[in-house]
Parts: sequence; C-alpha cells; structure tokens
Amino acid sequence: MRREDEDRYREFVVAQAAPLRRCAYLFCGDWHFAEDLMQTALVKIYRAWPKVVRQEITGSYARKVLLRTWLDEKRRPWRRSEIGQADLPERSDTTIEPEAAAERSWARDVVHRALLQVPPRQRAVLVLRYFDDLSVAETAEAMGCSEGTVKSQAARGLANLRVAISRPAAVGGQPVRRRVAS
Amino acid sequence: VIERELRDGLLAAVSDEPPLSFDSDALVARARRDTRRRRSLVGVGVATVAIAIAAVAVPTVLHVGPGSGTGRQAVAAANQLTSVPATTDSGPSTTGGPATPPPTSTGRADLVWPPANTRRTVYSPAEMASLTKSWTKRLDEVFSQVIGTMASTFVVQAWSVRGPSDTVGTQQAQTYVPYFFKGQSYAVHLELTAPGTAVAGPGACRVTDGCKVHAASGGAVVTVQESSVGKGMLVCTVTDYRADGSKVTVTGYNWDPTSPAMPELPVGDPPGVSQLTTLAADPKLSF
Repeated sequence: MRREDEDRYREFVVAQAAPLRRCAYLFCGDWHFAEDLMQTALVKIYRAWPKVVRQEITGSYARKVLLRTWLDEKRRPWRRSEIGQADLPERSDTTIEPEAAAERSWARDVVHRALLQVPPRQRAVLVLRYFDDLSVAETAEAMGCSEGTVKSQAARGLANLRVAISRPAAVGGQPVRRRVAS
Repeated sequence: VIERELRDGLLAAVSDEPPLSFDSDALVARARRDTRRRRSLVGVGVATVAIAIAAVAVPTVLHVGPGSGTGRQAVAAANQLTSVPATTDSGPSTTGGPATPPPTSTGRADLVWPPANTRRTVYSPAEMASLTKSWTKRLDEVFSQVIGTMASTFVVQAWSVRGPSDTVGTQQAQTYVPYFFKGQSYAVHLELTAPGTAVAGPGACRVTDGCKVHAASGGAVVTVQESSVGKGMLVCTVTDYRADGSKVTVTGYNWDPTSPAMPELPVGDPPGVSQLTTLAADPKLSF
C-alpha cells in the first residue's frame, strides 16, 4: 500500500474505531467481542483500502464489513449460546444522579436486552437505521439487500422488539437463556 | 416501542462504553501481516493447482505426441480426414507430388508410412477388374504350392471406398481362398491395397497386441501378428508393406472362417508364418 493511502487508513481507523465498536456492541451485546469484531473488520478493510478510497465508500463499506464479520462469527460453533445461571452483581455508579441512573439503567437494560432477543438481521437493520442513522438505501447497501427488504425487516424487528420488551422474563432479572457474544 | 425511544435506548446502551485501548500502529502491523499471510496462502494454492494441472496435462500432451500409441491413432484419424486432390477416373494416373495421406512418423525411419516416394495411383473399374483376374490366376498357380490344395474356386473382388472429402478413397481387392489340409477345410484371407491408399502403416503394429515388425528386402516391412480370438481359435496375419506404398495382407486361421458353422474343437493347425509371408511377398500379387 502506498504511504499516503496508509496515512489515510490510519486517519480512518482513528476516526471510526469507536463508532464501529459501539455498533458492534449493539450487534453482539459484549464489549470485548465488539472490540474483536471492530479490529477484524478494520483489518479486512485494510486489504481493500485502495479500492475503497478510490470509490469513496468508506463509511458504508465499514458498516458492511462489520456486519459481515459479525454474522460470520455467529456461525462459528464456539460462538453458540450458553445458559446463564446467575446474574452478575450490580455495581454502583457514583458519577450520575440516582434518578438519572435508574432511567438510564432501565433504557439500557430493557431496550438493549430486548434487542438481543431480536433475530440477527432484524437487529442489524434496527441498529443501522436507528443508531447509525443510515438511510434505507445506505442500510440496504450495507446489508447487501433491497430497500424493500430493509423496510420489512425494520418493521418486523420493531414488532419483535415490542414483544421482547413485553416479556418480563426476557428482560428481567431471572435466569434466562442469554446469548453470550451473540 | 416508538422510534425515538429506541434511539434513546440504543444511545443509553452504549453510554457506559469502556475506554478504547486501541493502538492503530498495532492494527496496521497486524493488517500487513495478515495481508502477507493471505497472499502467501493464495500463492501456495495457485501453485498447487498449477502443479496438479501440469501433472495431469503434461503426460497427456506428451502421450499424444508423434510416436506414441495414442499419437499414431490421432495421426491415423487425421489422415482419414485428409483431403485428396481431385483426380480423373478415366485411367491409371499418378499424382505429381508425394502420396497422401502424409507420412506417419513412428520414430523409426523404416516405419514411416506411406514411404516418401509413394505415388498414389488411381485405377478405373475396368483396370481393377483386369488386375483381379491376374491375381486370381496367380493365386491358382502358387496357392497349392505354398499353402495347400484349394477346395473350390474363388474370385478376387475389388472395390473402392471413398471418404467424405476423398475423391479416390481406398482401393482394395480381397478374397478368401478355401483349402483342405489333412482332410479338414480351412481358408486364407488375402487383401491387396493400392499404393498410397492404406491409412494404417507398420507403425500401428504393437508388441502388446502380439505384433512384430520385420524388415524385408527391397525396403519393404513385414509385420506378423498372432492372436487368439476364442478358445483355441488362432489367427495369424502377415502384412507386407511394400516400398511403392501398397500393402498385401494374408491372414491364416486354424479353422474355416468361410463356413457358417462354428469350428469343432479341437481345431486344426493354422498355416505357418513362413507360408503366409511367402504368399504376402509374392511379387506378382501387386498393383
């Protein structure tokens, strides 16, 4: 790779590493696995970097690679689900007010844990559309499907999310089947 | 869940993001290493495929070359398709250049067929009829001396076979000559092929088929093939490839191939190679 291309790649990595990791976390629900996914995706992008830069598709291409990497990893046998038998101990957060912390905790726990119950591709659509704020066309390109599929997957994903939130066992504190790094 | 709540929920979900312990230099180094490894892997894969293809293709290509068995078949097949310049059927005529099909190289100079100086001669039906009469007469004279007492009369028949793009084709004459030996009936088959029209040469003689090549006088090549076609049924074929590009094939059997009945076992003795060779090399049995 040429020097200037590599410099641009470094700039891209510094700028996109955190957003990609957040996106990966929403996909999989685990920060460590999210970091692995982000780094693997960035390595894959490095291989195609000259072509990506020429076509100026870095943003959507990065999301696409990240999504593919996550879906590929999900298919690996050692990534299959396991049964959680106990809850992790709660830790106090002294940086925010108790009321705000409670609201944030509700939002984080309920919405994200419910999101992890949604099928992977529907989850990906919801994250790309409502977290990364991609348009329908950009989401379709990132997912490698048609815009109509994105719309239908988004509608089904929202419906499944509502169902997941309405099930206390799925988002509550009881031991439930939990996907680790799903 | 309305969309706004979902957005808020997703933003809240990543609000407790741990610090990013991320080294871009390490990532670039890993990417370089990964790319190199991937290229090496692809290179090894391509090389393996190339070697595998070469291992299959090279022996095949070499086997098809001139001099090999398959090569001879390929050349023979090509010769069958070789077009011949149009010639007249009005009388014996000789083409100006070397005979077609082109010589078949078999790795030995004496096995090149047809011989380089062969001139293809085209015979009219009337001339072939005249030739068959002379061959019939000649066989009447020599057969009883060489092989045995002829059992009945016979007639040499001649014909021409034309290929799809061949205006002349193969000109041949053949006959079965029945004879008695020790009270049992046999027959010998005789076939004469005009100069330059025989496609298969002595190079087609393979040891694996029980065929042997012998040099003969006057630049001729004689092949002898002995084989078994059934329980105790032997066939001996002697072919005299002559220097003028013609060939005479004499086949002896240890039973009577002209009889409609199956031979009774045990069958008798086939004529000897020397007897068949004498007949095949008879100078008067020629075009």
